[in-house]
Amino acid sequence: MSALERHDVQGFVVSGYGKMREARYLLLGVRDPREARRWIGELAGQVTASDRAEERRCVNVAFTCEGLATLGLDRAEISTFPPPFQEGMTAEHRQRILGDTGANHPEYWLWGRPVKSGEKPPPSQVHVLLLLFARDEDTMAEVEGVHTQSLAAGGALEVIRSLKPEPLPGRQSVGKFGVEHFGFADGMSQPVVKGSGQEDKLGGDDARRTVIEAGEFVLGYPNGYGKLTPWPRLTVPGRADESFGRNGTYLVVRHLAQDVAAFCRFLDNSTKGPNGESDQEQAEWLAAKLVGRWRSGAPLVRSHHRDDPDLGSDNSFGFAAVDPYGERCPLGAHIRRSNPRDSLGSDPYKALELANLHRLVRRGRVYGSELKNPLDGDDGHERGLLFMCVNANIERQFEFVQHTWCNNPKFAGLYDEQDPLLANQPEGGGSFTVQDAPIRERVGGLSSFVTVRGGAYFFLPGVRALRLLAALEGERARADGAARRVPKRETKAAP
Amino acid sequence: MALRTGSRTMVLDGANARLRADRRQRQARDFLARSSTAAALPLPTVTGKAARTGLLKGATVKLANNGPLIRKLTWPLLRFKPILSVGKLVFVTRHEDVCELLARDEDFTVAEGNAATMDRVNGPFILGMDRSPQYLRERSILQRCIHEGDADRIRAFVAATAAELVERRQGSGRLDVVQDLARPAAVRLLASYFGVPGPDEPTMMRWMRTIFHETFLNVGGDPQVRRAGEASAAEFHAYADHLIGSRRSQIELGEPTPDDFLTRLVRLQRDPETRLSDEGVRRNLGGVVVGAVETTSKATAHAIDELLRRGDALRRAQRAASADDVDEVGRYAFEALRFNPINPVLSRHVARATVLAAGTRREHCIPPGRTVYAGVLPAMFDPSVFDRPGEFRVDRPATAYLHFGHGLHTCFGRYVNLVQVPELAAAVLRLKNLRRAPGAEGTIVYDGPFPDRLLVDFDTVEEGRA
Amino acid sequence: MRQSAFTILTHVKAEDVADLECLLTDIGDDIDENPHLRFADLDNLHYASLFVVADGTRDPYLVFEGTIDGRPHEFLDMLLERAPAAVDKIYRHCVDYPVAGAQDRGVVLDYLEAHDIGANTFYVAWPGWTVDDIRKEQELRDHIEKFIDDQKDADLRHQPPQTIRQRIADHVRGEPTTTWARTARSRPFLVKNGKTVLRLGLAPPAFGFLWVLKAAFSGASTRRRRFLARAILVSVLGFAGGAVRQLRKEETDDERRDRERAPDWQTTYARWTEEEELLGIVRREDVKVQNHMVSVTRIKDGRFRLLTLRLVLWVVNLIARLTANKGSLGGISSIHFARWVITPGDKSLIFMSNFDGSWESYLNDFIDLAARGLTAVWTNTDNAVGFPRTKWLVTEGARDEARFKAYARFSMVPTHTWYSAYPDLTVSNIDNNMRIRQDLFASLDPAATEAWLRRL
Repeated sequence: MSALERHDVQGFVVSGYGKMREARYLLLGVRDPREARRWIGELAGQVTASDRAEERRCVNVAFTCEGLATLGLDRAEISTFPPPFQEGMTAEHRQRILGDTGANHPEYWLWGRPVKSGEKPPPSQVHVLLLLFARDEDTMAEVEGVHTQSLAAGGALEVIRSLKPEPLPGRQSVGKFGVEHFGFADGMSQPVVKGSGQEDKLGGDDARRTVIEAGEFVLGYPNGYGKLTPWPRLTVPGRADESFGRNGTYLVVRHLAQDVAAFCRFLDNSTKGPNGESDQEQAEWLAAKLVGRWRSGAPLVRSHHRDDPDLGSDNSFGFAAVDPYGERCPLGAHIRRSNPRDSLGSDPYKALELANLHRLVRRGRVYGSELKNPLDGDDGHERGLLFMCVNANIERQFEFVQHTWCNNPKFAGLYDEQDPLLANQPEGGGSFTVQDAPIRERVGGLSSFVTVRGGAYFFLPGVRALRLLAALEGERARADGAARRVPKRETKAAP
Repeated sequence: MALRTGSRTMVLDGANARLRADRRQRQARDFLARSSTAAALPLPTVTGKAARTGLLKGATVKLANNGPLIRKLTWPLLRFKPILSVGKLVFVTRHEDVCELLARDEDFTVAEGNAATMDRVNGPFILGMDRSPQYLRERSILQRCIHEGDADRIRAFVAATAAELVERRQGSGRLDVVQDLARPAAVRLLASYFGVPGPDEPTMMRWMRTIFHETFLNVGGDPQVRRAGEASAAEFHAYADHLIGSRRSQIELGEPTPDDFLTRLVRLQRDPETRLSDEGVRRNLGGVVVGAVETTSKATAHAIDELLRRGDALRRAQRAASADDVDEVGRYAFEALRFNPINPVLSRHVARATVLAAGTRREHCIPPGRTVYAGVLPAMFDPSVFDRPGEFRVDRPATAYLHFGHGLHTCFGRYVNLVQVPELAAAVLRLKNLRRAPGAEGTIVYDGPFPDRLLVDFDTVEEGRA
Repeated sequence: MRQSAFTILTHVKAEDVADLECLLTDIGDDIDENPHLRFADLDNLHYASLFVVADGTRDPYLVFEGTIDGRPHEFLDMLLERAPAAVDKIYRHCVDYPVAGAQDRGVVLDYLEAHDIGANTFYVAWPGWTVDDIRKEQELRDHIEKFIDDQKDADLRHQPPQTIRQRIADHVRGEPTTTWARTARSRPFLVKNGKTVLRLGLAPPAFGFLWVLKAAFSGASTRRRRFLARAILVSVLGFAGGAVRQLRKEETDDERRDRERAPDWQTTYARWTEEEELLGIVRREDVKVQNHMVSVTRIKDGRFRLLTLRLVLWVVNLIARLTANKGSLGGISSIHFARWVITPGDKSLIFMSNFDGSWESYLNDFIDLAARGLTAVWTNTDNAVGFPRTKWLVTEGARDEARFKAYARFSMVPTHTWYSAYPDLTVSNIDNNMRIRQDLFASLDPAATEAWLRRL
């Protein structure tokens, strides 16, 4: 089981479709399960698999737990999915793990929020996520038109919300030279899936750092422990199929609004001169310290004096040998928290191996217009990142990164600070330590620059599983599944 | 670069606290303080285990400069086991295999061994990078800073400098090849050709030595070497930043600037194709310069030392020097260097499972993660390339020598030292009745891995006349 | 002062289980302010937990786990003095609780002590560091940090390292509340000398074995002696061989039984995750930096497994006492205190741990760093999910990530009441604070001074 079955794995796992400038994410609710299954059957033929080199358009599809239950998976089958997927992103204890408290609480979300008891009318539950990509606007208009029509045919599904990511002006939509709203190049560090063919040109430390077992991102292949992560199965006699989950994976979606004005104001305030004048250079220095890279993407570990655009796409570095104490890239900097590489523990070699058990394939795209003069204040428009990531084990990968690394006040021996970009900061402002010789510096007054506006865990099935899903019989399971899931969420998700 | 003063206020837990002023500014300020204290770093007491590892390290350093001993040790390998695997290490000794190893830069890589130290001390530089778009781009930009005629210009400058330096010692009848000639000459070339004079010669020599030591030769991770190297690096950064900044403003203002490596590098920034970022200029200049002093000095000292061991060869080399046939002197110098090269061994990391010497009887599968040592010295005694390797012969093919390495990472300063080392050697060889200083004084004294003294005696001009 | 562990296990009246759980949950829901029991009033208490194990297979029982400075006797006496009503309210639901309990402290004390089963294995991250030490050292650190943050003129950071440290030391000296910090604190004997003690302990058997070897094969020894030595050798080897064979037999039997397991472990676990029990466990998790874990597993049948388990627990305990006593157990540096207890009657194994970070990261540490040790213990136990296949007592086992996690999750019991004396400190924070204090007034060379400043 070495090579990835690329014809069956959805293309989103191995590619962010960098060439596709346009994207549309449709959040759908199933209205007629029978018709919806028919639609899935049709869609299975159009879905972009990993082996297809699409030039103009790509289509991928994923399902929430409620979606699968509504489509006809029965209770026993649903129970073969891992707990986080079954419980959903908004389960009460997951709010603590993910930092979805306060302003991030699911009750304020635009979508994906649970039903509050007695709420009328209840919010539409997201069942299906349809991902559409196109090279240009015209193609997108065409693709979107065709799909909205076919999914609504026969009253099968309904579009609950359409999310429209768009790159910042003059930037690439995704990948190495995509820039997010705070102004930093994004997407330099991505794992390379073993067996995807992309790992062939990597060797030595680069391979050790980036090439990750296929089973970490796709179900049905050996994971980082050399084992198969358990995958969902169809268990009902007559349709029992062991391979339903094979070549599938989980897609985490987080709708993150970025408060660009607050971020820039914070940088400006924290670095004002004694007479209250702004100091651009110092503000850039602080921004780089918070992120761990300069705006161009140049890592602080390799260029700690100033930005070095020549190193903009550089990802060939560890922390242990060059910067063990965080004097270049602070211990709590965003990139060091979200991927500590070889820095945690006394043995860098082992540390890297262990850190690589918690990797994510990131597929985020930015949305919203650019904020022109951030220091003049916010313009009232929402902007941010539609964060997406692919992983085979939500608990060990996405949730671990979020909780044990990013949101952990004790990360790497620290005492009381969280990810300076992502965290839900405490009342009165969070702090951030900039390690330095001879002595550290501490910055206070960090506010929550990012607010969660929506999110859900999705299952991104293989193409074959889509066909199995389309072929499910019976209405019985739907009623059963839907009836069972909703009350459980009701009781547990009350704030 | 304008140094900024004053400090900035920031909000911390409701109170005002100060963000420290620009660290570069601090480094510049600490510069002098450190310069004076670096020489007097406290020595920790060496006890027990530390003493043992210290001895071991000392022995390794000594071995690395002992060509004849390495030859003896590696001869059986060359003869019976040209590719030897022991634990995590692989030793390669045949010329053909060494060349294959060094040529296959994607299987046998350098970043694992060099990148981290390079990053720590200088910032990324081609010597610590493996083949990549960035490597190729930066190397080609550096290459474009070498102009036609540079070799002649270097030759003329080194010849004049060497003559002047030797002239100073004329009256004394004794010359220290390292301190009186090779190191100062190389540092002056840095000023004249590369455009990096340093605040003064002794400081520049100290910087180059300590930085080079930490970057390339501090295999055991000696904390003192590291401290000294990093301190020098910080001083040198501050200096280089200032230097580059003022050169750039000179160019922008249209003031006349010397046509040196630095000016060329800065001028290339105008074209996006060849533009290095400001930081890119600094780390590339630093990388080029650091490798340009100690290597030259070691090559010169070892070449002279080996010639002094061989009366006949020495006399013929002296004749060539007197006849101003510096090319011929070069052949003597590089043949002499073969017996005690500046890098007897180069190391590479095995990036992926691979086969070395495929299709031969020596064919050897090497798993990834190993360290391979390319025996440059034994390879230059491989009889299949160096006929009668034990003999001193100047008719050997110049391309067979591995003094500058081979393949992608061939020494960038090769074009400089192909000229500079023979010129320096010639200056010594021209001395009348050249001989080692008597007794212990006549052998090379090392400072760690670097030759620190090689005293030679000669007849002063007056004596010659008499 | 040495920390000690008490584990008071008492049977609960079957009809009272729900009431007791409800009471303990009430306490646990508001551990600081609840009207029943204020743990914070109990000096010397590091951690405490109370939970009811009622799995339907055996008589339900209550476990009161405590980690304290000093001996349990004094602590329990203090508990009865300061919170007699709470103890009475809780233990009233237990079988054999003395009727006169509410009136007679001595009787209750005897009752509690009689049911204390201690710990077979007890791990302490920082032996000798009392609750008071840990809290005071954190205050000291806060004090120093504040001093650094308050340096408004930014002058401090431009000083050489020695001067900065000197100024900090001067500042602390000038503060009357931190006079205690001026005297250095030495580490307990076994922390400093554990390895030596271990070597000394191992030496006699090692020499004995060498002597037997020499006597068995050397021509110099008498015939009689040679015979005796060979007999000893043969019996030792024979015994070891027999034990290994028996172990492998047990393991292959387990494997066979596991194949026949119906339904398979994934189904069992999947069904269980549907139950409310998992939610009962996770609702207590990740509220603070630290977490608590209780796992109850059934010891496999047969004397052999019990013997192996006892042996492994004894060895782990020895390691914990002698060598793993500096903040890390088998590479895991997030455990404050942990214990393994075999219940009376040798039926179950209870694991109780107070650790930093999430359960998920804790289990990852188990698998990544200490799989062998965990396997050696838990492979002797079982539940409906079943411990993953093990070879040679220590290999495989916990390395089977998914199943090991399922096994551990499934074995868990909700901690109804849990108290931590310093819920915001991690093991590494405590370590760092300890070293800040230790070297604050010591004389340090330049490298050590820089290292000390990095701790701030």
